[in-house]
Amino acid sequence: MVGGKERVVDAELARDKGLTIVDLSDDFAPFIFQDGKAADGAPLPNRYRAVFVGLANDRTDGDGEPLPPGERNYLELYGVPPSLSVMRKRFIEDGACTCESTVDTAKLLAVDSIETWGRTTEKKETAKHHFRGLRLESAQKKLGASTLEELAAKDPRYAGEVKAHLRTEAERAAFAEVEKRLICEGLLDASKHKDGFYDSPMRNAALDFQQKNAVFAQADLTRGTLEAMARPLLQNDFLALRRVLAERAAHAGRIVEDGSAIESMPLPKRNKPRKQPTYKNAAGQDVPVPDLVGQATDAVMGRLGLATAEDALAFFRRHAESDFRSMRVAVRFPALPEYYGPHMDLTAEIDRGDVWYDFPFNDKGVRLAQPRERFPSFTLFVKWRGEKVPLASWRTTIGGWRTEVAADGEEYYRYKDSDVGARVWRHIVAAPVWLPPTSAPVGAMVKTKYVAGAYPRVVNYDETGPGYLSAYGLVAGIHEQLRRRGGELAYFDNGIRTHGSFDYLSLRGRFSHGCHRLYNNLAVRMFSFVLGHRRAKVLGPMALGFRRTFYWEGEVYDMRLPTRGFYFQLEPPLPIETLKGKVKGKLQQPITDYVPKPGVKYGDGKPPAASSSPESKAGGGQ
Amino acid sequence: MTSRRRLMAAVALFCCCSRPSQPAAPVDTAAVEHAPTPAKPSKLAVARTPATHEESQETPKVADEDLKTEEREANPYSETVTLKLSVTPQVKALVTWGAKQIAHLAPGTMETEISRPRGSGPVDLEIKADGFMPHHTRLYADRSDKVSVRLYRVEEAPGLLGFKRSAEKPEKKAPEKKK
Repeated sequence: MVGGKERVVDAELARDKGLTIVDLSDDFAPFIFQDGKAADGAPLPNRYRAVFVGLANDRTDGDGEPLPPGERNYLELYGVPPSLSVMRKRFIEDGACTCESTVDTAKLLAVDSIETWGRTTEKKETAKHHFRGLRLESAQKKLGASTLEELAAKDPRYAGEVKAHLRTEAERAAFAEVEKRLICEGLLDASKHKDGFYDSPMRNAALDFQQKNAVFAQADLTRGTLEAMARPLLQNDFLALRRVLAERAAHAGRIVEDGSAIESMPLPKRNKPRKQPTYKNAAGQDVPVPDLVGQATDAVMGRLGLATAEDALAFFRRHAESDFRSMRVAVRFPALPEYYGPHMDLTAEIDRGDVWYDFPFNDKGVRLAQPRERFPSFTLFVKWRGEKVPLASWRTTIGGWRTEVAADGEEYYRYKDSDVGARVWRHIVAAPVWLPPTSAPVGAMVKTKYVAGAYPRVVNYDETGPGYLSAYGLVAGIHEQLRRRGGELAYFDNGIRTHGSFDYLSLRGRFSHGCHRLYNNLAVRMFSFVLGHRRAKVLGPMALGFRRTFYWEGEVYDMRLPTRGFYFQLEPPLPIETLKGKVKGKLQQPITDYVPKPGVKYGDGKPPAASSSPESKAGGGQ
Repeated sequence: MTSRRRLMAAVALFCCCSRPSQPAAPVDTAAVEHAPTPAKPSKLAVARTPATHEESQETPKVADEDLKTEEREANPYSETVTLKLSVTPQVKALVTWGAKQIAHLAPGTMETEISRPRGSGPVDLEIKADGFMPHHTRLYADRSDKVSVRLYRVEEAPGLLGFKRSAEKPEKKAPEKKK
């Protein structure tokens, strides 16, 4: 874009002039999904690439099969941002909508959230509200109060009920606006929805809205959801476009610094601001670690002339869908800090934060409070001029108390620990598969799926992957430990991985089975960055040849997983250390065996020994 | 237990439980897991006995042990792939893919072949034969693939993984996940 007009430039020439070529094409896939070449030049196809591109373009589902007509993938929170063609469609459709005038945003934002229930409870709560209203109306008449507030003032015994009634009234009013917004945005079919009820069509529509707009909630009508609904459609689309371009910019520039590194700095005392992370320049001065992703995104948006939602709408109206088959843009990115190079001295660290080993229930099965002030975090560092410089720092997960089916078929609690100490990432796996332990619930391994004109029951491969719903996410770094075995050193794998995760809400304080989860898009971005700045060998797709035959409800199923995933080998491996964190409570070491669930009657005898398979360290988002 | 003893115990456990260095054979054979693999007893896992971090590392496996490059295809970018299914025993069987009938198998012709566009998604097949339980399997279309299926008679069900749990108590169904 020069002088307000777009012009075609020669990519090589642009590179020579120090510009970065940002791929805006619909065929884009992150670096970890690119095909590789073996040492002898033979192609190593990265098969998940086609699925990723199909998902991003709303063409296929997670298996690579065509999406039913009208169906859309809202997978940004799962690590698959929409393509530019999909964004174009959104802008053009939403540009023709006038939902803003149909929704009363004041009513929408008059509440912090809207409480919702399942069908049975919802009916009860609705009736409860109705009868409370009648009761208060009668009291109003009796005391001659013209409003409920006056009633509460005249007789404080009614204050609590009045407050609850008014809150529910405000929530009901906001709920009606939510319905209008979802219908207007085309996410809710009014003919399938019963007004005033949070039924399945509306719940699904709310989830679609949240996933379309990257709102971290799973159909709960949270404040974030209401705020997003109060925004004009195009404004939400503009925010989404910025997120899409941020991923493209990060991958084009092979950068990872997103301003989050400050989270790794110690918390200061007395409410002072956190110290900015810095690195030393050639002159020995401390220079702040920049937010390169933010700056690069600004540069891309500036280059495309996208200052407002209206600019973006004009941009997409100006360009036909076919333009995005091959569109790229040459952008001057911010200068890279001095610590950048072809082989950076990177290390990673996981701080487990506050850790509780105590069993979290009392004998009556009541959950005990185990508050945490410090949550687990992941930080990527570069060693530079004698210092460890944090580049990015994100929330992650550690293991904790989980339920598990033991060998006796009973369900117990078990503490799933995250290994502590020094390890390395030697292998990075794109589109990894996870093997469910034999203790995994068999019923969860079967689902009904649309297959060639029918809905048969099939094996559920969601959690095994490869795919964005895999327990190991879209990419995983295997934690390996160099240990001596019979006089020789060997790398050992205890099943711990740093990996992407579809279970984005678990990153907000829940526990894993021992692995360290990251948001899928950040995991993809970070491992692409690592591979872009470390010596690595492409091993390509690794054979697995896994097959499990099992019985479920009168039928036999084969689970077949031919491939482990697409492997890269870092040479040398990248050090990663998991810090012990601060152990709270009485127990200073974890309980290793199964613990019976309080209140559950088990057969005679002790619980069986706990499974020790590396696979049991993942387990997806359960 | 002193930390030195704990360390020695961990080393001993490590030596006992380490897997051999020879690459394991791929699992994709006719071998079928009939029952849950018994959990490996952990000598250090005593009920409600805290363990050190070293001890809790249980039974790590050698990282490269199972790593094996996939067999290369002659043309990994061909437009179509061939999917092969073979079924035993020799009985009359119907193979369906959703609503489509793929093949009628009969003694002497217990194999079928499907040609599919490369990368067009997996093919979930169901095989039905009188006296046998319906059998579901999958062929992958991201490269040429083949699978051999052994059908099971109803009376063989108790030997299959999941039979006990399927028959005795209802399990949680797979959660609806957005694809």
